[in-house]
Amino acid sequence: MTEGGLRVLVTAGSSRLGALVVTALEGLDDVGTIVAVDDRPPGAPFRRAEFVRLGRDLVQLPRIVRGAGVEVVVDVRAASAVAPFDERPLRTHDATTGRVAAACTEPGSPVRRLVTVGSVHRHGWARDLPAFLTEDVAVPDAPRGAFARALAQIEGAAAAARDARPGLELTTVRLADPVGPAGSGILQAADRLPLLPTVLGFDPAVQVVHEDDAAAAVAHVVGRRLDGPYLVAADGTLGLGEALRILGRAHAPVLPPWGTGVLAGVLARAGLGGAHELAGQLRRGRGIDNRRLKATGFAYRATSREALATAAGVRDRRRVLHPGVPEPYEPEVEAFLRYSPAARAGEDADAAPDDHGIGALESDALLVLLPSLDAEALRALRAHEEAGPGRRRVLDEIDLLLGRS
Amino acid sequence: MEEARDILPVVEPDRDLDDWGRSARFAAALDRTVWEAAHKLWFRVELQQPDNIPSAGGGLLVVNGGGVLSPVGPLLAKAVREDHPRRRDPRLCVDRELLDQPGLSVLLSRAGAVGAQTGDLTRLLGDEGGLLVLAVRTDRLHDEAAATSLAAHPAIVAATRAGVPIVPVASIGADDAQPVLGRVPAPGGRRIPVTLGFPHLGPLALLTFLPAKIRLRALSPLLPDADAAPGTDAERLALSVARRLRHEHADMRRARGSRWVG
Repeated sequence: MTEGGLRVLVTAGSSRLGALVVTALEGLDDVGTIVAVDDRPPGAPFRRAEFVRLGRDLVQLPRIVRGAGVEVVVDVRAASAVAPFDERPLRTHDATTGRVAAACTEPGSPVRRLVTVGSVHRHGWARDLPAFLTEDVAVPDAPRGAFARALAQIEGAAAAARDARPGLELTTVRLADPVGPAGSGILQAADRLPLLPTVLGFDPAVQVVHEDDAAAAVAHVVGRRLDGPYLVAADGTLGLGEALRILGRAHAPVLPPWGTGVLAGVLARAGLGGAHELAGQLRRGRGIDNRRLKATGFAYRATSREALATAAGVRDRRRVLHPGVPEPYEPEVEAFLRYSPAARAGEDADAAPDDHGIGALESDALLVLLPSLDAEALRALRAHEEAGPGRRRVLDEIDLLLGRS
Repeated sequence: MEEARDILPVVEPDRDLDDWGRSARFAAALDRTVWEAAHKLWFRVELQQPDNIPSAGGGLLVVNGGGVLSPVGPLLAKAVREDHPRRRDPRLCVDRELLDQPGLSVLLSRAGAVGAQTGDLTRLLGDEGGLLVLAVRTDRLHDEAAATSLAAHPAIVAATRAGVPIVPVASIGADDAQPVLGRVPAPGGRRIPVTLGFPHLGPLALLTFLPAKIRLRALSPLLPDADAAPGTDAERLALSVARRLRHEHADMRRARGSRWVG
């Protein structure tokens, strides 16, 4: 480790999951410098990480890596697309994947480790897979489905980079569907439809991970300098019906048990993203063996059921809010407050108002209250939160609820 | 992965389903009704030498008299729950194709069955210390079948890998409860059994078991050889299990008076 701590760069730093990873890395003492990059600004300022907005395809990424002396590149692009179950960012990943690989392999690159954060969807849904996936289960060379193909290409490029540059270490983290305010992976489909059609005669297994645990797991892997593949999933394998019940989503077993693969193929050709993955989840499901990561000292805070329950929220309490002053992320303001000699050290932190009432609640306690609030109260709380602690989970959950209302 | 074997997932006691999909409520209801009646009234199951079944840790129980329609697997599980000194609760190993059928998939997994997959069964036997019942057909216990199909069965391979004892359980009466009159070739090289009720009665054939008395005898356990190559050891164990079951089954038949009253 270099003097001043590990120097880490996180791609997709403005995505929900990327920002959580950055926040988790900020909490590690032996990580000295964190650079978050993306092609759009983050939703809220980072505490100590630097954000650099790059153009599309991350053309300048190798320069940033060289300039900042980055030792560890954490590539969160794939996982951040799977979390909201949105394949669009992955359709054009080739160019950015090339930049990430180039940043790690070009002569003189300071990068010593590449951490690729993907998804267990990389394993596909073959019939002969075990009920519980482990790190020892081989991944298919040519998986079916848009997500699995993109994940395979990204992991393949990372492996090629490791082979091309001796000394570059590779860690592959495959996340179960992260669950939280930003989405719930495949179960997100239940949010998009008034009634999720399920396959008649099947109740497949579902295992997820709370997004905070997912981010903490990535930070753990970076901080502990772990090599090889790691599966990240919370304890507890649920039935699909049980998971949807916890989420409060309706489902109906109306899909025929035969021909789901053919139907998924037709829907995928018709442009429905993730049809193969959805069909696989509805027909086969899977459990995930998370013991390898736990053996390295990582502890999950939430089980699968708790993660889904937190995401679902509870509608049993009401609070009255007071409006605050909104404070959106402005890069110029951030630059001024951090680097200008005119800015007094600690001024920004001192400006935060004393936080009493609902805003003083812990994130988890606050999140379960949010669904009980009306739109006006949510807007007021958002302004208050932005002016105060600026917790990303709280802000995103409020945005999600405001979007629905 | 070796260092992680003992770090099992946390158990949430208020959940009905466990990680394998078994429903505590459904399995208990099935146990109190169907298996209770079958065990005590219809088949009058008798488990001999239950002390040979391990009281703790993993173990594979291989019982003869199995088949598509045979009740011997669940009846052995019920007998262990009733008559074993520690009243252990074994799971049933079933063909994965059964778990891929609509309806059966949910029914079997809720009842506690697990699919025959080596990695999964190694976890169940070795890491979770579970008991597993594997029912094999009596007419497939000759040496050739044992050396090929039984030795390659995921449950035997998993028991060998996990280093858990394999307990042969000889049974008599199960083949008389639903006698196979013949076998009809089916696509895929399979042969469908024709019994008094199957296939013409379909699922109702499950209600047409004759009231044969079923006797089960747990034989002394066989231990995998830690130093042997896994493939060779699996073949040795499979042959040993098959031979002992064959001989014990023949002895029990000779000693039996009537197939209905024992």
